Amino acid sequence: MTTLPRVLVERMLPLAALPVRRTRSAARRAYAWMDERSDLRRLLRVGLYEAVPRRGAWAYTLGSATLILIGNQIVTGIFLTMIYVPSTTEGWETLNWIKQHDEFASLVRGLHLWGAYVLLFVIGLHMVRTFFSGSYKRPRELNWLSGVVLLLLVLALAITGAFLPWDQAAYWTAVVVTNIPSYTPVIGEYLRTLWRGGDFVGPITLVRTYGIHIWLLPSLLLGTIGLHLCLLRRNAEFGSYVNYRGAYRADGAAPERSSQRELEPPYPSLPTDDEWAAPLETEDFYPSQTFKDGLVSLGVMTLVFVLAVTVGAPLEVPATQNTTTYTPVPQWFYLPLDQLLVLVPQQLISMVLWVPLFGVLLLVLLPFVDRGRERNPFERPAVMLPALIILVFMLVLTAQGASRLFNLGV
Amino acid sequence: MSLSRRRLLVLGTQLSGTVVAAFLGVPIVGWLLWPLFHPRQTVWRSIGKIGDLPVEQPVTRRVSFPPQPQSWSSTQDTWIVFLVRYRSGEIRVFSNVCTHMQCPVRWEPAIGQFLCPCHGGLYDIFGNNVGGPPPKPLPQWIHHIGPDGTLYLEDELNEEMP
Repeated sequence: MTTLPRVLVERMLPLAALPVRRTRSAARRAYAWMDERSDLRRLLRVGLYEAVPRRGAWAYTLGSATLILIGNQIVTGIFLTMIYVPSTTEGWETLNWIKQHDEFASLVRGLHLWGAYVLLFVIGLHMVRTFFSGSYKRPRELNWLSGVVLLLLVLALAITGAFLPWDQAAYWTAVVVTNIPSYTPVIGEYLRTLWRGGDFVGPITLVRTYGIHIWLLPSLLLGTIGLHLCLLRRNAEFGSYVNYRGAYRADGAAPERSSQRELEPPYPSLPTDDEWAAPLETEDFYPSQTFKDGLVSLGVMTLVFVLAVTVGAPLEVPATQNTTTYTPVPQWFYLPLDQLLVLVPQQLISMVLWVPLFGVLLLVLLPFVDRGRERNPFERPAVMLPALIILVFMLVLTAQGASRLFNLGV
Repeated sequence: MSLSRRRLLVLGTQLSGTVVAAFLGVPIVGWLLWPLFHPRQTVWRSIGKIGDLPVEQPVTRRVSFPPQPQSWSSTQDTWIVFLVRYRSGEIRVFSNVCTHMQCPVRWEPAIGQFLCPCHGGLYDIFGNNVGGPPPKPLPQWIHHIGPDGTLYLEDELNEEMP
């Protein structure tokens, strides 16, 4: 502005200012009208001007990226219900038709598929970050538990979604996955029959799984996201080791807070003891954190869009039981479990059920077992080492599974 | 015993909630459990004359059965079956459903065994599970051979799937 010629500025300013000022006042009047009836101003202040930690703020972008990706799933999923029919005779036809004739609908389907794959990856990173920084510790145990529920719901959505195209890949995923609950003691076969709607996978299986995928699981997901976000606001992000670095001293003296903004009640919890201590430096959520969140979300959505355009969503030949040549291939996120099925002897097949359940149990118990005050990942070998071993074990199983499938010529 | 006004209101609230929950719960749970109490009616289907089957060399045929119970669908379930004639003259009709995770097995002439491509399960020519993770022999369709050599299959396997 300062580089513009002075005379130009003087001529332009009155012209630019007049209409702007008029709309602004109209907008202000509308804002005041809304505020009087809805407390909008307070809502915006509470929503946008939370004091969030300055340190480690990039690490906190994974949660918002997860949220944006779930938003992508909901928007594209709603659209897909308008073109897809959950029928064993017509479901595949609808998808094949858009594949042949409707590039935009195919693109939406690609966004839904790749959005799901990237979401699984990002939600995993979000969980690993939370684990590393010890953010599940008091008072954030419920944040962690609701996150575990969200992870399970997203996995369930991913696996039920894989049934729906009703091509060969979908059909055999349905056969193998609906068979897993049958290893539950006593009620196993009943569970399988309920899910399948009969002894074998068929039309009822598809329509039930569709209902579960588009209504049941998303309803639970949205509710749990609400809970997760409420708990986030209640307990704040202040759980990370990086925020705590230097926040309390060995001699117990009150930490020196250099640039901490005055905290607005009731957020966040005031530092009543060092375990709850607020971070040294904070800044406003808007626009400091939203900028970082926006940038990372833009990155992941760009990745999803590029994959949707370049790779798209595959559609194999229509589902049929009657084949002696088709080799079912598991979804990639299911590979460790699939490889486990190859490795365990026949007496231990039910491990396909118990190993994941045991993993869930570990996740649930984590905040109640690791209760120490220490949040530095390098000072918590008792939880970090087992977690690393499990992670490496899963990666090795994935690699083995992938190489086995490649050797089959798939 | 006296019932306070407050206690009565609490009980009334809880009762209304329970009754409304039952209005919704009974039909939905009943619908969910329906297939458990309505086992399907089995049917027999002819898959034609057997003719001369090669000895201990599986031959594939297709068979179509009506859809599962509680299904509006008119689409037939088509299955692939393996016919095997043994030296003894006995004939077995194997399902292609692996007893491990129900993937489709195939006959591998090179090794003389049925192979499941999913997790490497192996069955010999008699359907015995001889390698890999399958916990049971390959299921057989219950069959009947008419006097004129026509093969009939019932849409029922000789054993419960694991």
